Amino acid sequence: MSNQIEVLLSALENTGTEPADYMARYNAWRSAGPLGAPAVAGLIRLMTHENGEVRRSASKAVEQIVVVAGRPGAERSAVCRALAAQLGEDVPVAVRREVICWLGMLGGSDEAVAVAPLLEHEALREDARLALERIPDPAAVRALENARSRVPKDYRERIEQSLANRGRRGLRRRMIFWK
Amino acid sequence: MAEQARNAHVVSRRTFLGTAAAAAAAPMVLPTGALARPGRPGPNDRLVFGHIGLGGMGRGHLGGTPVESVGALCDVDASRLSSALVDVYKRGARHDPLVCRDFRYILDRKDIDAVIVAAPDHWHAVMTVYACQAGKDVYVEKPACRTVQECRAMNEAVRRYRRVVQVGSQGRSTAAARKAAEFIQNGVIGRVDRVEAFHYPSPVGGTAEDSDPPPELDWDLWLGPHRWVPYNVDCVHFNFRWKFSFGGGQIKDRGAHIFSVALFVLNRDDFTLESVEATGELPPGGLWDCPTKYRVVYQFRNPAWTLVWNQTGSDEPMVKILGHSFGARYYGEHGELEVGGGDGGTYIIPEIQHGYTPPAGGVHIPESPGHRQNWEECIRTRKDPLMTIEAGTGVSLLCTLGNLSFRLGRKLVWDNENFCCVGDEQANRMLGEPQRGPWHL
Repeated sequence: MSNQIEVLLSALENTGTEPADYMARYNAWRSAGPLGAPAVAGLIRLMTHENGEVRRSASKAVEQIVVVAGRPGAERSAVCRALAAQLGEDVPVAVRREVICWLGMLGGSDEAVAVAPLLEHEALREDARLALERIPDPAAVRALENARSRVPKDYRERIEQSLANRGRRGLRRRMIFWK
Repeated sequence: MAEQARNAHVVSRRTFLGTAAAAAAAPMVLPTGALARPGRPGPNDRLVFGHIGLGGMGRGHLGGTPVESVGALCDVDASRLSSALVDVYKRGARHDPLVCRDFRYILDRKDIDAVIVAAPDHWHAVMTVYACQAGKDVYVEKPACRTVQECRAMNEAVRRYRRVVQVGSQGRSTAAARKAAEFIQNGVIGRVDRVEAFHYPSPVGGTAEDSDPPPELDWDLWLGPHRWVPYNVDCVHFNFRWKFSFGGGQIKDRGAHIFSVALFVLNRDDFTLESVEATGELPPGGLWDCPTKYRVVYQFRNPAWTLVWNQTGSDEPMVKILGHSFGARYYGEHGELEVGGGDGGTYIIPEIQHGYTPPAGGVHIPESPGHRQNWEECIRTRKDPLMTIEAGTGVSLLCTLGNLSFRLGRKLVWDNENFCCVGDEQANRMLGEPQRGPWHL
C-alpha cells in the first residue's frame, strides 16, 4: 500500500505540461480512492505545491478518497481522522478550507468536535459553520450551540440560522431574509 | 439593512456616466422617476421590471423590456452595470432606473412588479426565494437551482407567497416543441419508453492563477451563498458554467433545456424518478472540472421509461439531431421522433411542424405567445406559466442528481416520497449546500 501511495504522489508531483503529463496526473488521482487514509497527509502536502495542476490533482485525489470512504457500508473513520489531523495552524488556510468541506461530507461526532474550535477562527469560521450544518450528528449541533456565546456578536445570527436549519427548537428560523 | 449604509452611495446620473471612476465606484442608488404605482398591475398597466444579472442572458432580457418598463438594473460588476445603463439611456429612457449591485435594493421597491434573474446559477434560488418573499414575480433563468435543497425551498416560496415564477427554459414556448408534444401525446409513435439526449462535451480549459478581483467586481457579492473560494478570471461570468460547484457543465446548461422539452413533450413533469447513474470522463487538467464525455441514465416508473444524457467525447463524432449539435431522440412503440435543439431554437421535421394536426378530441396544446410574453400574461392573470417552478426544479433535480451520482462515483436510488437517496447517507448530506451568510435559505 505504501508503495502505491508513493507511486500516486510521484505521479501527481509531475509538473510536465505535455498531454501525457496531464493524463498521468489524471489517471493517478482518479484511481486514488481506494488508497484511503494513509494517502491523505501526502496529498495535503501536495495541495501546497507551487504548481497549480499539482495542487488541483492532489485535491481531486483527496476527494476521491472521501467519496470512496463515504460509500454505503464503507469504513470511514480512518479517513475522517486523517483529515481532522490536517486542521492545525501548520496547514495553510486555503487548504484547511477544503479539509473542512470534506469533513462536512464525511465526518461524524469526532470531526464535529475537531471542527468546532474553528468557529472562532476569523478566516475559517464560515467554512466551519457550513460543515457543521452538514454533519448529521448531535455533536455538530452542540458545537454550534456552544459557539454562540464565543463568536463575535455580529456573527451570532449566522450560528443561530444554522441551528434553526438543523431544527433546533427555541430558535425561530428567519424566513424573511431580504430586509 | 445593516449593509445598506456601507453600500449606498447617491450620485447624479451625470456623475455616474461621466467619470472614469464609475467602473470602480461603490454601488449607487439613483432616484427613480414617476414609476411608483401602488397595488398589483391591472390588465392595462405597464409592468415594471428589475433586471438582476446583466451578462449575456441578462442583456438579452433587458433588450426585450420596453425601456419605460426598466425600473432597476443590478449587477455585481460595475462595468456591466454602467454599460447596461448607457444602453437604456440610448434607447430613450426619460427616467433614471435604480442602479445597484445588491439586488435587495430592488426588492425594497414597491414600484417594481417583477424581477428577471439572470445571475449565475448559484444565485438563482436565493434571489427567487427572497423576491417571492418581497412580493415580486420572478423570471429565473435555467437551471432553476443548484441543489436539491434549493428545489424544495423555491417550490415552497413560490406557492406560499403566491408568486408567478417562470423558469427560463424557452424551448417549451417554441412551435416545434408544441407540435412534438401533440405528435407524441396523441400516440403517433405509441408509448415512448426511452429518450436519448445528445450534446457535445463540456469544454476543457481554465489556466489562470487565482488573483485579486478587478476593482469593478464585487467578488464577495458575486460568490453570494457559495462557499468562499478565491477569485479566478477563468471561472467567472460566462465560464462559471464549467466549474462543478458554480454551474455544473453542459448537463445543467443545455441539458436543462433538453430535459425540459422532453418532459413537456411527454407530459411527464410530474415524474417519479427511480434511479440515476452517471459515468464519464473529466478534463485531464485545468480549472474547469465538469465532465467532458458523460453518460447519465435516469430510470423512471409510473410510467416506466428511461432518459439518457449522452455527452460525446472529443474523440468521438458528434451526434447530430436534425443537423443540430444537440437535441433528443424519442423512441416509441411504433416509431421514433427527433427534436433538434431544445432552447430557443427547437426543431422538428417540417412534415410534422407544418403537416401534423391533432385529431378531433385529441390532445391540443395552446400556442405560446413566447416564453417571456407568457410570463407577463400570467403576471396579470395570476395563472401558472408554461414552465412552473415545480417543472423547473424538477428538471434541475435531474441535472443535479446526475452530477451528484458522477461526483460520488455510484448509482443513486431516489425516494420520491421523502426526497432523498435511499441508503446513501453521504449522498443525502450533499443534496444541499449550506449557504454562506447572510444569504440563508
